[in-house]
Amino acid sequence: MYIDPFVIRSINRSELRKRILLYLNEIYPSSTYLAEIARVVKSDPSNVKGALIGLGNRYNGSSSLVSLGLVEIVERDGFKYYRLTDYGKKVVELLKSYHLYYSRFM
Amino acid sequence: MEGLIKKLDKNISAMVQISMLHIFQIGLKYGIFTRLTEDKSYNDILNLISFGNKPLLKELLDTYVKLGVLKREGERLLMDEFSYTVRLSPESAPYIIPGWVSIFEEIYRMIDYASITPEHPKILMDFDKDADFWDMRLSLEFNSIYRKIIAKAGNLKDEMRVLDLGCGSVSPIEIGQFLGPNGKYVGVDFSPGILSIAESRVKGAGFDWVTLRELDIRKAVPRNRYDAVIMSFVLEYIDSIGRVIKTAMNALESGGRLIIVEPFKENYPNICAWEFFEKLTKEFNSFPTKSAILGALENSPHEFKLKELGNSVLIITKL
Repeated sequence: MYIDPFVIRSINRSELRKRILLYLNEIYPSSTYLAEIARVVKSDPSNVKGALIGLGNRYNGSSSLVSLGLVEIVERDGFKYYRLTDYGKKVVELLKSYHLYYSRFM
Repeated sequence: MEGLIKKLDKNISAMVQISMLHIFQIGLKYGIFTRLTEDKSYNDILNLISFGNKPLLKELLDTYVKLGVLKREGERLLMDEFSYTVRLSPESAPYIIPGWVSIFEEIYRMIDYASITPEHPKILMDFDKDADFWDMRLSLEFNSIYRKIIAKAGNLKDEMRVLDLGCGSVSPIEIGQFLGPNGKYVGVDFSPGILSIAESRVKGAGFDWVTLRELDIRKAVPRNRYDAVIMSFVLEYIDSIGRVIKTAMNALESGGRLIIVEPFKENYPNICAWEFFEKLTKEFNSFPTKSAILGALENSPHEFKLKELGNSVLIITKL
């Protein structure tokens, strides 16, 4: 499974995307809904939606967690739930390993 | 063990072959071969090709000459008759591990950025600044293969003491796991970035028998004696192989083993194609020859016994 190093670096610079991934990793393999993620990561649901799937001009869809293949959408009973992919899990593991290293550049 | 050795050697051969294809692709992409039919001097060619990074272009042209694709006649640079066959057989295909191909592709892409400027931010080959990319390389299954070979060849087990020169970020865990809880693993690397990644893993795994030291191995003077000293894919960054081999032999107990893993140049024709890409790391010199290592061993004051495993592993026992 190849992980693009620029994806890791980009996620590391985005506190909200990182927090979302860490939370989804915590509940993996379970999925959860948008409002719950927003509550846990202490952010506005529209910001969380932007980070997950992109939102107008404010959040670039191509760098959203779903477009990058880190998070998948599970549709159940007409509701959308979000779950970390295997690729996303691997990225979270690396982010944790690189935490000390990246903190040198902050 | 035989299967692991074959896997290592066949993947290294595949790395060389893929590098050959990519180095040709660069020549086609930048119109280098087209220019060479125009009867121009070496310096004209350097100036005519749109490659901002002229030292890299020079390196590329020199590599083509080493490979026999081009030849120099006085001041002129000419195309030579050249053909190249990629060999993939039903016998070798099962040994090829796909993981490293994507990493190599990433490195090939970096040449385009390096052609603009050697300082381009999309070049990820610096040991410290790009320690994350190096960690991804070192985490590949290919790299785990040679670590398994090292563990078997050194008969590594609890209570043994091992010195790993140029340890990187993954060996402290993958080699260190064999030595605990009563043994000792000392990993030496000059990159603080790589060591900080290794440290966080060692701490997470609770391997308190693993020690990491930030040091240039050319300047290392080990005070303790070890049952095994490891050098894997590190001699290509060292300009004084003799000195480092001597240091490694001095650090060994009698009966201890020095284990070296490298794509020895004698065994891999055309390896200079791969070297061209590795030169994006400024410390990269050249993959070592087996004869240079033997020469260094013979010049060291220690008696030794040498065993070769396939084309890329040397086991040296200090007598």
